[in-house]
Order: sequence, then structure tokens, then C-alpha cells
Amino acid sequence: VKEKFNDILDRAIALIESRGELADFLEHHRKDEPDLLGLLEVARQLSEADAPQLSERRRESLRTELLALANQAHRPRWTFVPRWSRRVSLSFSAILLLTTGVAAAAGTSSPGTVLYPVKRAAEQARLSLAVSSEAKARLRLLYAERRMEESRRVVDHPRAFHRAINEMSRETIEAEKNASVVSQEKKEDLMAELLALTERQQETLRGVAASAPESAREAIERAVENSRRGHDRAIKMLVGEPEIGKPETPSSSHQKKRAPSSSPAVEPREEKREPSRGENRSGDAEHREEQQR
Amino acid sequence: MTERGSERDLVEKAKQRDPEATSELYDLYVDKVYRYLYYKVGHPVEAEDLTETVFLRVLEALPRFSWKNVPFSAWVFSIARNLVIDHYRRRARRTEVAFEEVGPLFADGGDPHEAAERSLLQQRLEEAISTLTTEQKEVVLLKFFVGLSNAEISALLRKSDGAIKSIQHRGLRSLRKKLESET
Repeated sequence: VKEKFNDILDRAIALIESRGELADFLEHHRKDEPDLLGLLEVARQLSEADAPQLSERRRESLRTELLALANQAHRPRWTFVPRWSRRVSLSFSAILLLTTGVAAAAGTSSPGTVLYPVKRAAEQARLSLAVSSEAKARLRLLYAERRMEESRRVVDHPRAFHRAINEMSRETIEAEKNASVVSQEKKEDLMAELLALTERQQETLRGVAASAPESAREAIERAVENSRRGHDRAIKMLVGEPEIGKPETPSSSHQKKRAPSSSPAVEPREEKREPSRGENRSGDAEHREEQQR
Repeated sequence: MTERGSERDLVEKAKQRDPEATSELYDLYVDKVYRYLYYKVGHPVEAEDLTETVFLRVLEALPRFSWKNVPFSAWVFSIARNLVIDHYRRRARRTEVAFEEVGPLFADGGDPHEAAERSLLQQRLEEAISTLTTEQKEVVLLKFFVGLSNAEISALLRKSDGAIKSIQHRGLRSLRKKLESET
């Protein structure tokens, strides 16, 4: 009987999806009608949920990339390079870049300038030499800060600006990933830095939004949103679990899931409150100090 | 020519690196793949990056694809599914893909009251979905959010058509119970 109902329900769902006549169908299944209607209502709510969409810009850039690949008769094959060999090579590159004046001169370069690739290569080399997750997280935070500053400098150059804020978001996410696997004490320290960084990012992005070209608005909004999410997650990581009895939001349960299984979750602390987004930075800082005490 | 027939033609042409066919196939699947990945990883930027990787892998592996009782869609989504598994394995800090981690299910409405109401609905729906079993979540996601057919889901999850219908039934019943208990 259960099997049969599975089939009836599935046919009814298919009927709704094809916008067919449900009344006749229900007439034939009068006994199951109340049950069917309840389940179909749930199916309707699921089907009518607005779907997330890939941004038009990303969709077209991916299409261009795919078509470029499709046009190549043969894709270049990856040649096997031993892992140790890559490390040695990167280490040499890093030493070379870090000890030459070129890298120093490149340090203040902006996207689009001749020395900028040197700066990025030096950063990557330095990152490849970082062993611990903490060191990587700190470097990522530093790079995210640099990209933020660069975005301010290249706001009049759409392509470079785009790249800078995308890289800023990426480095911030990577920093958060690295920070999530370190010990609790270090994690709190890193999350506090992430918190301050994301606040500066939002401030900077809102500042440049006024002078940025119209085409960059969407990217700015997305970067602000990413930053805001990172900020919220950092707060939750610092504050810990919501109090018992307090309704749990999907994003808070999200945070709970994000806690690494290998390290203990942040202990629930009493008399903790979540700072509202409207709070100023000094308020947040005081709140964090209070938690640390 | 049937829809499936035309898809078959597109796939065969795309295998020969025909740009128009590749572009059409991309249009057919990009939204579905992005939606699937978005709900699985819960982050728009990560979902975009994974979408890119899926299509690059599809293009790379397309010459090796053969029609052996597996719909093309199931093959594409198996690539996406494996990528999600790799993604979480690499991160190794979340053991289960959770619906609580998804972003907004509903787009913001123009009217603030309507938006608030939708937001409440979204929250209720997300909470209800989070109580489903992993396989129920997978079937609900693939069927109602991505729009795959039972046959496609069945090929992807390697379960019989009857099993998919049964999981769907149990999932919807569980959602209904949860949603009704909250009202």
C-alpha cells in the first residue's frame, strides 16, 4: 500500500510540474486526497523557492573560457613534476624574490603596473614557505589587507579594481579556512583580526563605491556581502554558541557545523550577547576583551 | 526531435569541440549545476568556483562519455557531486553537507512586509530541511531545487526508481510534519 502511495504522490507531483489538471486526478484518489494535498503543498513550497542565480558576468566569463578551451584541438597535458621538486623550485624562487631589490620595489606596486606580478609572485612564494596553518592565516590576512588597499588605488581601472576586490574576498575566505583549524587560543586571536579586517573592508568598499564605475557596483556589493558574512562568522566564533532558549538562526547553526571536528567547539558562555552590526569598532573590541576576560 | 534527442546531438557535437553545441549544453546546465553546488557548499563564491571546475572537467572528460544507460545529466551531476565530496574532504572540517549552511533560498522581495514574510518562510523551510536524513535532503535538492527527473536522480544516486519515490515520500512527509508543528 505504501509503495502504491509513493507512486500516486509522484504522479501528482509530475502533474503539478507539467501544470496538468489535478482535480480529475484527485477524483480518482479520493481516499488519499487529504494526505496528498498536504504533501503537494510542501512540494509546491519547495518548487517555488527562488533559486540562486550565477551572476551574469561570471556566467559569460565562464562561457568564454569554455569556448576557448573547446577551440583548442588538444589541451596541454599536465606533465608530472615531483612534489619535492616543486617545493625546491618555489623555495629558490622565494629566496631570489625576497633577497632582490626588485621584490622590495614591487612591494608598493598596484595592479596593472609592471612590477605587480613580481609582488604577487613574492607573496605566493612566501605563502608556499609557510608551514603552519596559523602562519598561512596571518599571511592571508595580510594579503587581504593589501588587496583592499590596492582596490582603493585602482578604483578608476575597472579590470584591476575587479581583480583586487575578488582577490581580497578570496584571501579573506582562505584566511578564515586556515584559521579554523588552529588551536582555540590562536583561533580566537586570528578571528579577532579577521573581525577587524572585515570591518575595514566594508568601510573601504562603501567608500570606494561612490567613485567606482557602475559596472563595478555588483562586484562591490558582493564583496561587501562576503565580508559581512565573514565578519558574522568571526563574531560567532568569538562569541560561541547561542544561549539555551534563544532561537537558533540558520546561520548560527551553519557556524556550529563549521567548527572543526578535531578541535573542541567554543564553549557556551553565559551573559554573552552578539554585537549588532550597527555597533562601532570600539564597542566590538570592548566586547571581545570582555569575552577574553 | 525530442528534447533528449536534441541533447544527444548537442553532446555528440560538443564531443567534437563544436563551439555552438558546447555553448548550448552550457546554457542547459549552468544554472542547475550552480544551484546544486550553491546548496551543497552554502557559499556563492565557492559555488561559482566549483561550477567553473565542473564545466572544465565536463569538457575535458566529454570525449570519454558514452551513452550506457546513464543520462547525460546524471553524468554531469556525478562530476559535480564528486567535486563537492573532494571539496569537503579537502577542508576536512565539516563531515556532512548540511542544508543549514545554505544561503538565502528566496530572493529579496520589493515589499518589506512581503520580504519579511518570505524570510520567515525561508527560515522555516531551511529548518525543516535540516531535519531530513542525508539521502532525503539529496533527493529533495535534486528534485525540487535543481529540477532533475526521477530517472536522472535514480541514475545519479544509483538507486531504483521505487527507492527514489519512497525517499521523496518520506522526505515530504517529514517536512510537512515539521512545518505543521511550527504553525
